[in-house]
Amino acid sequence: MELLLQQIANGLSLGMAYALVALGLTLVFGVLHVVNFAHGEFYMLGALVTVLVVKSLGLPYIVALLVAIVLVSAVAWVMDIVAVSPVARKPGGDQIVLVSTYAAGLIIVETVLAAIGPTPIAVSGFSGIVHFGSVVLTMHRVFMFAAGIVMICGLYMLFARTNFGRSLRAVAQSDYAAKVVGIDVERIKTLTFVLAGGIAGLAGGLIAPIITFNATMGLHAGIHAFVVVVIGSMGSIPGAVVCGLSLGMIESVLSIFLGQHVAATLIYSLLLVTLFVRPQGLFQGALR
Amino acid sequence: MKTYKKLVAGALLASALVSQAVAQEAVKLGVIFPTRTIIGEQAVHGAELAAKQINDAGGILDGRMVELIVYDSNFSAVDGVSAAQRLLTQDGVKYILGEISSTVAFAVIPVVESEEALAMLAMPKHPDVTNSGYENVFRLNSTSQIDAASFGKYLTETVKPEKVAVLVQNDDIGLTSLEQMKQLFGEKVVFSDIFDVKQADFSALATNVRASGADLVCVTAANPEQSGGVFRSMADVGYSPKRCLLPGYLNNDLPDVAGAAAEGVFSQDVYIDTIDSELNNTFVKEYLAAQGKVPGKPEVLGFETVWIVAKAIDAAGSYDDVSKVAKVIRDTQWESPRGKLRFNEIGQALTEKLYNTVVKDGRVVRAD
Amino acid sequence: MKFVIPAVFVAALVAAPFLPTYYQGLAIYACILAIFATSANISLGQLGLISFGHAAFFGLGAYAAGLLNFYTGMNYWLAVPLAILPGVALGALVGLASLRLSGAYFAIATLVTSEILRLVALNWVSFTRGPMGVVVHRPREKWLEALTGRDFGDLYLMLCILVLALVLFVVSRVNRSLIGRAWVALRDQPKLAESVGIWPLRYKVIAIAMSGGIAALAGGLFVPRVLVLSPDLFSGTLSATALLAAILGGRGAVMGPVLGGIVFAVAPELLRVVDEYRLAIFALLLLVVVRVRPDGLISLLPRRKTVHVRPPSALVEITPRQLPATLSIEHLSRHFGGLKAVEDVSFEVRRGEILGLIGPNGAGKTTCLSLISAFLSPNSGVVRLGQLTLSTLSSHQAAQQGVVRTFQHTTVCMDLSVYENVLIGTHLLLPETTAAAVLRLPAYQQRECKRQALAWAAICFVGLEERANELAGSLAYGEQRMLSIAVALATRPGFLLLDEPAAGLNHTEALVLARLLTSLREKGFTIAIVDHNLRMMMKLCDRIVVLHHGRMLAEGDPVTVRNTPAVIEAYLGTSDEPEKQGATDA
Repeated sequence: MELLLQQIANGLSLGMAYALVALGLTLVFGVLHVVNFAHGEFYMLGALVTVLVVKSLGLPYIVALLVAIVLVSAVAWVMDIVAVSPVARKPGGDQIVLVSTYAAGLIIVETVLAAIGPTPIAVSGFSGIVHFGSVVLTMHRVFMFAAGIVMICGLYMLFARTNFGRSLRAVAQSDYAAKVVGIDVERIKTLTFVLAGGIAGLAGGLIAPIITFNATMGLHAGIHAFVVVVIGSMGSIPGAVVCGLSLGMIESVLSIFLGQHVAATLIYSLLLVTLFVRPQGLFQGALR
Repeated sequence: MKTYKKLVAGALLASALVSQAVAQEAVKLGVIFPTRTIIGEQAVHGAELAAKQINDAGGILDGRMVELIVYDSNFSAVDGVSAAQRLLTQDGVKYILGEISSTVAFAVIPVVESEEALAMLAMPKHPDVTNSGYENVFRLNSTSQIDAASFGKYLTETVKPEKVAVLVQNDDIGLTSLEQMKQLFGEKVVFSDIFDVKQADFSALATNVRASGADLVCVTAANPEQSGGVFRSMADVGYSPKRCLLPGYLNNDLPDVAGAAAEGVFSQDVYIDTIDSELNNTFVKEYLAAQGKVPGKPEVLGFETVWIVAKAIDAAGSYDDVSKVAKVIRDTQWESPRGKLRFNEIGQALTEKLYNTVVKDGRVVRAD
Repeated sequence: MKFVIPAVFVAALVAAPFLPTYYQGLAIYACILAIFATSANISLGQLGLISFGHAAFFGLGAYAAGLLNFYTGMNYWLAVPLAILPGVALGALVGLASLRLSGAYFAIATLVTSEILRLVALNWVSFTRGPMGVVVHRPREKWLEALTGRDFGDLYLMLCILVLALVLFVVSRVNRSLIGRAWVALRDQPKLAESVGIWPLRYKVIAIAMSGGIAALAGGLFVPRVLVLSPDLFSGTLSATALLAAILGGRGAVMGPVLGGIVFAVAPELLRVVDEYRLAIFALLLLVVVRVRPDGLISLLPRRKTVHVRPPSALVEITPRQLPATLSIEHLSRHFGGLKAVEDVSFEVRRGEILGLIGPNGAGKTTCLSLISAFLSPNSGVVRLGQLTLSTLSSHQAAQQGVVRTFQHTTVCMDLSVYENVLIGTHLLLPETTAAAVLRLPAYQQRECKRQALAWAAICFVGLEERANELAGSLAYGEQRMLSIAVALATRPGFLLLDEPAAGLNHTEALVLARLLTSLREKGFTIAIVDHNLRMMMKLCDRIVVLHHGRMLAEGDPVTVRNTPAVIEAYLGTSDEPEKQGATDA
């Protein structure tokens, strides 16, 4: 029983990590209707900036997080101008965006490798261990979970209560209709892309102390994000959160009974089954 | 005045041209590694140091300088084969040095064979690498069998654990070591698990291992991100049994990544930088000066590929007679920073022993 | 122009043995990537389905060939063609799945499939040797080397070039056949495809099975290059390479993926002079090309001149199929949520008549048409064609039964010519298999001739023969409406259902249309027509059905109907409330 509780706790924190990375991806798909092949690189850059700010500049971790959000958002903005907006507009653009974002992602990874090298860099976030009864979690994982919740709530407020949020939801439903009512669709799309980048950057910064930064970490995070996004419905924020958390918990709890490597196969099979049984995912598309 | 300047310029130019004609052609050695990974980078640095030392001492074959042509194999058999082909057929080398991955090695060896060249492999661990049938293939790293024999002895005779947990990565090295540990400890293995090479989060795994109550946890993971992650997660759940890494994978990157969680992790390896010999002390000093870090095994093996092959070419007195050079390699007892080594009839390097290593105060040191 | 490409291949074959080993290696890899990218292009360019997991087929082919050779000792080169079969089987499975999934979902499903295969290869150690992989010995054919005097590298390269040529030949033949036309229709106008009887499942399965088989072939050819089977053969990077090569080279064009494959194989290697930065530079080049030439590198080459077709000297007659006498609509109802679009509507369409379906906007006319042609299924009631219950069939099956509709919004393939569009309509005339499309035996040629003759008959009938070679997208609106009718005619429909064919036509054009429809009736065609042009309808139709708010108000000959009070009220309102309509006076 204790073991089970511990694994559920582990799973929640693992799942929050998945959800955080998936959030930006699902947002971009919901509003821009394109898949950003380089989404994982925003996550990697967020971790990189955090690690550098803490280790080289010696600034506190929280400051590093804020810097990460700002810098990665800036990179996302540049990527949008160069590789997404002008490309997605053209006919058949959603396919070409795959190539352009793939190329952009590759450029980012190669640049980081050339600049930083392949060495993994560790950084510590919040130290200390927290006990919830018999369950043990590091302080940092608790912080990450809490920060994730705060961010999700913040996003919810943004979408539900602000003009920007309303415009964003309008564009997600129909480009054309949004244009007709006077929304600057291109601007909303760019802002959404930047927002997604910022979220991914924050995710990277939050997760960096738990895993170790290395230049190729973005590539692997991408696949898990895909799984979460699809099962949770492309474009659904609640879907990404619930599915991310569930996936983490299922993985951790299953590991008690099955080997780690089997868990991966199971999860992919789960994904395939979902795609067949309920292709629109469990949360029925369209941003809410 | 102008004329004078012209004369001087002319004289300088002439002497430069003359010295070009007199200067000798460099001895080219081909090097392939996944240069954009840490271990690959480290090995390349070791190789470069060897080339530098040899050139500083006057070069080989009557004053010719050793030149390394380095290509990235990127852990991809396709890239490795292309790189090897380019080296052998376009760049005119007859010696392929380096590589880490056994998969890439398997793909490259037939290419080397068809060009009648020589391969001095640094780090592949798969036993079949030296069983290809081609006699000009050499391998410097210890094989998993050699490791198992030595480390297994140490674990059963010295460490004497009650309950053992084995955590391995999902590749051939990991799976082989899992089998070996099971054979070695039988019933005492209370927990085992296999994790994906790209796995990042080990909290679930650490929790499960803790629940098993093992007093010795053995990990096989090639990357410090993973081994560090495993040890850190174990520390995070408050679990501190004896911990070891399979031979060959403990280097200073682990304490860098895992911090305090790496204290006390032990292993065995063919090399540790605190070996006290003249050759090693010079090696460590020069490497430290060049790279600002203490060298580890990848550096030494990279060093040896160039060191041994260059010196063998020199001793054989010929670059083109590959068989002769191979014979020299086989017949000589070599001095290297890790001690004495010899090659057996299938090209496997054998050293006297593996050193016991342990992480102490954030550094990997000798454990004796 | 036609002979340029074969000439290039012959030249490549001749030059192959003279290339230095290193370049031979690159050329081999380029051929394999070209084949792989071609396979990805079948689902991508022809069907418009992106696959993120094409390495599933590639790896399957590689493992199949390698394991056959390893376990049974079969000659490797014999094992390679056999390795195509698992690729085809998996492709067929994925094709079945593609019916439920499209767009991003399909892409991710394929990604997951390749990941699962990778994990299976990794973990099923007893069979695949797991991560250790299976070492394959270089499959040298010493007898062949002695016979031709060439070495392994030469022969390997020549084989790859031959296989590539063969693959391109097969693919281009299929593309330019009935099957290729069906693919294009499914991609560009799926509704149109269904309305002419193209069964989406069959053609998607054919496409993806073919794609899978070709990718498996590429995988089988690849193994001698790396000499080891490892789970990396299923890697996402490989999938991405195929996809990107197809997009970069130019999807939709047969030679596009070849160009892309060459770039992806050769560019990173050629950049070894700057080895450290080669991938970064490659990525940069990719980005630039994609921005500057989104249609792919193929757009840099001069466009192949489109073939101009001419009508045959003698036209065949278009005759309708012989079908049961009536199409009966019985108590048909359909609602969408709370909206009752069609409510308890019953009438008949009798053979040889022109039936008109009129009513104010929102009356449910188009919904009715969709229900009759099985594009929608009713909530209650049936549509019967003689003994057959039509309403339980799917739309393409209804078309196969001879009930063919046109659409309210112009539904033609804008990027195809008028002729090509109408040729799509001849789909149902004679069945075709993939093998027949490739072999093009005389029997196939005859069938194709018949289809072409029928297409011309339809084109000339609607008066578009002058425009036959022009792109449908460049036609005037009225001409496009005529084109839709021609496409429907080419199916030799038993019951032709036209949805607002006169919409947007001026008075003269409407007269031409009416004349056309009248002459169709004289040929024995049965037509049901929905429209707002009441003047035309009253003159043209034998009988008229009036719908209003989903219910049937009247049914009978035009004069009776126009004098029915309920109809007058529906259109003109009572004296207190004049309603506006877009139609001319009743």
